[in-house]
Amino acid sequence: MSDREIMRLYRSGARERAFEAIVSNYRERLYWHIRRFTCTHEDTSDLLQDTFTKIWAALPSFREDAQLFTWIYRIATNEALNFLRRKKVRAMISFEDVRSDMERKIDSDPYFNGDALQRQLHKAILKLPPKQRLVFNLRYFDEMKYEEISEITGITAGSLKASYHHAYNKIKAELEKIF
Amino acid sequence: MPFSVPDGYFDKLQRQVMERIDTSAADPVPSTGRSVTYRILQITVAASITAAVIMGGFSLAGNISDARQEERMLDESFFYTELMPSDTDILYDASYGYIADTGPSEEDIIDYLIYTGTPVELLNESDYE
Repeated sequence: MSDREIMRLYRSGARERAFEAIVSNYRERLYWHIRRFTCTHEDTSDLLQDTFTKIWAALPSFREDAQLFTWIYRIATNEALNFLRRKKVRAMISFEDVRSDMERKIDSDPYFNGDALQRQLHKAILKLPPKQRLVFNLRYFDEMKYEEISEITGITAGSLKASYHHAYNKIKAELEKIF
Repeated sequence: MPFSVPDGYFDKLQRQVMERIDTSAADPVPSTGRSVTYRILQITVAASITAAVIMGGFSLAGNISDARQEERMLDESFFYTELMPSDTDILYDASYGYIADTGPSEEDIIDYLIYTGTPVELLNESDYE
């Protein structure tokens, strides 16, 4: 079912069916989008459920001046960035190192089945600032256009290109240190 | 992706989400964008300002040297003393111990920093890369 058909269904009053279609269409895409920020399945699962609950609650106020796709991604991205922010603040208070903690999670994650290069790639991504990480993930993994990323993040395409370029160079430098 | 998910996770997720929204809201209410924590923070800030104004009033009054004013203040302070609870119960709750001893929790601080939008970088400059 396309986004347009989903919204038509929602407006016709079949709200639960429309929402069910949203969950069905977006669950995997949003899962991987969030997982690249959180690294672990457990955190991703919690955030994904929160994201869908927020989408359900906010659907009546969705004005359709943006695409459903970008609107949903924006909610998921906000959830993921808030998660990182929360994690960073908590770490600041308890004097922990977020990056090492997340690297440890990648190493001990039973659901990580990549090779050594992929492991290092994800560890290098963890070292990026949130904005660069977001742009890199959406561009590199989701293969989104800068215009689409711009709609999701509210950042100009020019700034996104610069961020992606910086991110790419940092990751390349990190991987060259090891391989 | 080098990550995987438990078997049948996405089907289970669909059910969990639908159950969650069934129980949380039969009819979705437009989000106001303000959480309960935010409202509590607003009330706390308002209470703090009120307390500061009252304390400021006392402080200002204390600087007035005029004897008549002092006398009046004495009367007033008596009045306020009358209003102050003499019972120590207000400071003690059997289930929580001394309320005055319980400061904001770690979660309160984190929620405050997040909802006020305080940049994390301000907390630790060396972390800013």
